Amino acid sequence: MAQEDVSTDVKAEAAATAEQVQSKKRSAPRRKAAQAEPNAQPVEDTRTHQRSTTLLFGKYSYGVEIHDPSLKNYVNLTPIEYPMTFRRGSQKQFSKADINIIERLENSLMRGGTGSKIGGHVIRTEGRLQGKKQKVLKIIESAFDKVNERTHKNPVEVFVRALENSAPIEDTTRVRYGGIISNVAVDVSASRRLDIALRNVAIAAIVGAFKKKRKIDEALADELVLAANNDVNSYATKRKNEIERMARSAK
Amino acid sequence: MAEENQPARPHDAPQQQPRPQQPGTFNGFLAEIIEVKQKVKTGIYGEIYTVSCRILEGRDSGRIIRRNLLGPIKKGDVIRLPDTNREAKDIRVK
Repeated sequence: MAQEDVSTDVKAEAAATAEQVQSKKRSAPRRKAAQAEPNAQPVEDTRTHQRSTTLLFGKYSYGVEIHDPSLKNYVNLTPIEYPMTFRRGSQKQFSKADINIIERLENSLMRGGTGSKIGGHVIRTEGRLQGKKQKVLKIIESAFDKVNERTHKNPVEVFVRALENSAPIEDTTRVRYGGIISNVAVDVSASRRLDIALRNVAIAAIVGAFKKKRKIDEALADELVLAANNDVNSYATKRKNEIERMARSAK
Repeated sequence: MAEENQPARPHDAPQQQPRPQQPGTFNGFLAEIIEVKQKVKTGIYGEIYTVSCRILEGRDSGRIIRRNLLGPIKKGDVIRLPDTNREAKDIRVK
């Protein structure tokens, strides 16, 4: 009988230790979930109608409402943790609408400077960011962290607001009447509005950091916060107002 | 300051001036593209589409007007128009 008691005790102890181990194993992921809880509500993807709790960089939620209905079809907020899909769709029209919007920012940041003159100079960065998608991904992550520190808001939301505020609604085109070239105002499609907004945000980040002490992630964070508040000092909203002013005078 | 005290003249109303922008609101009026004339691309480089679109906002909502558009478009897209009283003219290029 005594032997049986001992054996039962041992079994009980073993069971108790096993439970402790299991509870420790369980508690570790629970703690992580508790940390990310304020943002980790399931978000429904508008395209696939699947619900997921995937967060951008493991921190920020994709559950952002788009205020401008015209950009709604083109701002893609499909939840991906590290948006880097090796897609094949460059020759298809409107395949841009299927890319995650953060990945489109990466693609527009991988550029060798400003294409045209800005402030009297053409900036060439000589391949500092061209083709370096992992580097750009880290830049965006640290820029988003800085935005979150400064504004205490979801940086994905700040980014979407910045895009909405820097998308022009009218533009000009050149028309030639018998040797005289004149400008005519035309409207801008939703896809092109988003393209211009993304390009100007990326150019502002590159110009803000080139030959300056400021790092590019700080410049990008500054630009996102300014453009989201519709500030006068933001490059992207300034450029948008300039385009619209020229179009208004050419009506 | 004297101009503010005068009553608004009725013929000034159709000229829709850009309003000061508040957070969450945008200038312009929403319109939905209902027809794209693919064969009538104009402009020097053939980059301008002529479309007919139905206005969704404002006092002209429901009206169908013709506009010139820049950039990739397809039927069913929603665009923003700066004003709704102007019909697009033909852009004729030799």
